[in-house]
Amino acid sequence: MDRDQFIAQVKIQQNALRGFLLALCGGNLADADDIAQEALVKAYLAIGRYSDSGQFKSWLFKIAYNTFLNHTASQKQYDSIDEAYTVASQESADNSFSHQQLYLALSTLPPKERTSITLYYLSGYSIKEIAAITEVNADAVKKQMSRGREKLKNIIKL
Amino acid sequence: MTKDKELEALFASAITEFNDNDIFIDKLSSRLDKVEFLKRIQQEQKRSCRRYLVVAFVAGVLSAVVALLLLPMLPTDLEIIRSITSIGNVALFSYKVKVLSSLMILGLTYGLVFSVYSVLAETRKL
Repeated sequence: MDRDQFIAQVKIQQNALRGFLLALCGGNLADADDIAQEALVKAYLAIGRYSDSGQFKSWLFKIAYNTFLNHTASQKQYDSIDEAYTVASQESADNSFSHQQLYLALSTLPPKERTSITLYYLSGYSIKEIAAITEVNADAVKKQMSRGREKLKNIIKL
Repeated sequence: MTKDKELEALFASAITEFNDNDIFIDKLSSRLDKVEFLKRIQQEQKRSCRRYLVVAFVAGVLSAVVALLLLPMLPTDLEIIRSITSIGNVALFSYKVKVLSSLMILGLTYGLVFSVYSVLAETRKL
């Protein structure tokens, strides 16, 4: 895959990738885009290792997930949604999104639970695919999902 | 695992359409330009390094050949050594003369190869 092909693929996947990272970063668009750019540069440098099996999106998400885990944004985990609200307003997070409440609720979850929930509900991946992206087994993903879902529902009072 | 309908609906409403996609791609292209530039520099450095190593290797081989040709001509006669040095008691070294001379030549060869490599590398830097 050459540079033009890579850019063409990124253009197709960028909305999904940025949306995924935006959710992981609790709605902080600046952090999400920083991680997205970093992940895409890493992907470009590793393009020789990508086997063209039509799994470009999953491959990209895997790199993005690992980049997120190494980024300080993944260390931001709030104890409650109130705390998340306070910090988000102090950091002037992008509040223009109507779904900011969901993002802030997600930011109270540990990064791995947050990722599994986001990949499942936002990106539409199956448990097996999430296991491949996050490099854990399917049972662990199910546990993360179950725990994360309960916490999330309690926080946003569904 | 079954999907929670309420969460599913909540996430479905949270799918974001970004209106700055072109800016994002431009930013990425600019980063990739920098990556390409650095990659080119690295490749050039690798090529230069390989060239210097080849030159240094050739210099080393030539020095070794010269050293081997000189080896039989090394003085072994104690009288000759006594006449060209001011050391009085050379008898102690007599049986080690060839070994010492060979080591000196090896050292000089190594020094030559190292100097060739350093000079080439420094010239490139300038």
